[in-house]
Amino acid sequence: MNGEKIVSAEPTIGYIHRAFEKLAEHRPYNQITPITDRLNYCSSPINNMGWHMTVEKLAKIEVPKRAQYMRVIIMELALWTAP
Amino acid sequence: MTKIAEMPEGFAGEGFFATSLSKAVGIARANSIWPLPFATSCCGIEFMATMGTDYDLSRFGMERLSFSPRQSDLLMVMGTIAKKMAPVLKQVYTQMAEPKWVIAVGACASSGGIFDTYSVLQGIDKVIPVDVYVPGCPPRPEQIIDGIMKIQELVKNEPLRRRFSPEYQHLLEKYQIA
Amino acid sequence: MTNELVHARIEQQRPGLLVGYETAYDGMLSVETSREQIGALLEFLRDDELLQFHFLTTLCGIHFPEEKDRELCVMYQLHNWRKNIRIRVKVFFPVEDPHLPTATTLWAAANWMERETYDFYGVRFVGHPNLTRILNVEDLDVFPMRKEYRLEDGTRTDKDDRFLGGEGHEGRQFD
Repeated sequence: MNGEKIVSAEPTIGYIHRAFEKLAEHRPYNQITPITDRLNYCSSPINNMGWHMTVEKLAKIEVPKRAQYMRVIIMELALWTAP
Repeated sequence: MTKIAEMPEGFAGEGFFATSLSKAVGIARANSIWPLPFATSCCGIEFMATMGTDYDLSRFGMERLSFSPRQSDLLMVMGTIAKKMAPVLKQVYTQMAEPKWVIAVGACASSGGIFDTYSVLQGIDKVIPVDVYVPGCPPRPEQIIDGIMKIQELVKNEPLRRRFSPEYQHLLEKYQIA
Repeated sequence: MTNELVHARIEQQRPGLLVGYETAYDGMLSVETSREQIGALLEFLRDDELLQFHFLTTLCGIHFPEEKDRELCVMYQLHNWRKNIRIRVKVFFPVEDPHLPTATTLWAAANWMERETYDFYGVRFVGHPNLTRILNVEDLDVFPMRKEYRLEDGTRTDKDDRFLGGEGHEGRQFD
């Protein structure tokens, strides 16, 4: 700062670091869903979908067509509400 | 029919009404609280809904949100406070002028909530004194309004001398706030 | 372009750079290299006119406490936008001596990612311009994502889980 003028700025992050990775290490997979809900609180279903797809890939689960359609509908609805 | 606020205890007569100064000031303060929103996560979104037209926090005399701690009476902490954020929160609290109140909205601010981890402060009452806790993860706007009304009740009934009392000084010393 | 082609290209152009390779469960080519070769391999992957892995998607640390002398791992994910193919590069090294050459000279984006890896796993990136903690408080004295550190806050006093099969919190005296 030079008077009212900002001469240089340095970005700092980590002010809401909640140790999500460490939590995910310790909890069973179905207990992660509420945590991914609260990662981005404006579009939580989309974060959930990312987590669910990861679990499905790891466990080699095939998702039925009907569930996939429902997911797309839910994610589109979330997209509307997200700013 | 217009509803008029209830009168406090006092003497009424021909053309005059006498009550204690403490009560009059309490009513004035309670209906013109300026909140400082300290929103860090999901509860902040619920607070935005509370401020919106549906729930309309303005009818409690909170028309103006103050984003400067020096001009606000009520610190609303909404969301997870990480340990890195704790000194910032404490600084904001110390910058506020007396009298000041604090409301912790949501499970994270009240107790750490589901984030029982090394990096999250387990409740903001570890660093600053809190008047009202609102549970919920996140709480509904009705719950936040309920918390606000509890704060109004506290403000209305607070004696004028409370902030100068040794108990209050002791409370501040406990949190190492001068 | 397929995984086999990418692997063959690396082996043909720069023999001896790779220690091992496999096609991972998700179909991505995953190659392993040594600490001495990682800089040369990343530079080759970025600059080779056929491979063109010009984008660093992510970089992170992994901790395997059981594997002797291969406890810590740093994983790079590279992406070729033109051909839409990805590759995963892994380096293993012992936890007693965690240092690695920096990738900030190749990608500026590696700056914060390496700071994060240092913050959580204690990997020292030699040549990094500003290797300080990024997400955690600066006076933290452990690297919290290593498996031996516990999840919960050690200073917490209001939780007594002895009756639920826990042992309470370290350093806390129950009366």
